Amino acid sequence: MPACVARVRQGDEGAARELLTHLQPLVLKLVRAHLPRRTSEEDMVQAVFVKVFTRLSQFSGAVPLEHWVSRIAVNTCIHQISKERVRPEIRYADLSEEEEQVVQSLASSAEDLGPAQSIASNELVTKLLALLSAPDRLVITLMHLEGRTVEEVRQITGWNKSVIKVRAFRARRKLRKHLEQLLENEKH
Amino acid sequence: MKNIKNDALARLFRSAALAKPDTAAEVSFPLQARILAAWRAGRDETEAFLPLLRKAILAAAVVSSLAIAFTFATIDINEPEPDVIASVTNSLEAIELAWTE
Repeated sequence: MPACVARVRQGDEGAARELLTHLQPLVLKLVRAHLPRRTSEEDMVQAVFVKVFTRLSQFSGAVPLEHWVSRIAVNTCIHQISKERVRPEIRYADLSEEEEQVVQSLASSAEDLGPAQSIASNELVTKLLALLSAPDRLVITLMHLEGRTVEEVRQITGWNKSVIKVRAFRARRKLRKHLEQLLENEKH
Repeated sequence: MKNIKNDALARLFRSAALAKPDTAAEVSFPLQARILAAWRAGRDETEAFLPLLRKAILAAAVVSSLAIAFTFATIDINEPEPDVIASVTNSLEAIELAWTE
């Protein structure tokens, strides 16, 4: 890959195509995980790749290319998300029937939810995450939905470990508060 | 009470994490073409701008060198305390001269 990067810097279009093919699974995955509500996936992917290509001369090789690209992708998404207004609250009436069932299951039992509820759970989490700021949303997605470690989050975001831990703690506290409201609603 | 709440959020996360993400891992051909076209356009812009910038820097360097050389040539060494204002005036005159030439 370093040779390919060098060729892209010299303006080799074949190498640019090769690099794009190599990086597209990573970029697509990151953009899908952190897609702003009002931006299309294609527009975000394009914005990320254009940044990657135009900043390629700044890539020193000190970190793996994938980490460097991840950071650009994540920061591009955060920048876009931070332009969107954070939703003030979530109401029980905002939930779909499947999401209501997830809340009912959470309220009525201490057991893990069934695999059939995973999609609805994911949609419910997405709605809850919309109540958080962009960095909080990112840290929860990376740590709790993608199962990444604090070290991995540090590599992707560039934030230091203490910041990540504090941010995750506060974000979970906010989410708990909102989830608690939904659970209380369910009981009444 | 707090443990139950914690547990609900943890269970929700665990369940949500099981949802399979969209597996299509390829950028569509039209999007690839758009990305490469944007890269090409940016590169062309840079390539057109750089020679212009180089010429401007070269011209500025020549003018500055001339101004400095002219200032030193006109300073009277025998003068005990060279007047700073006069030196600056000389420099400005030199720059003006270089421009008019």
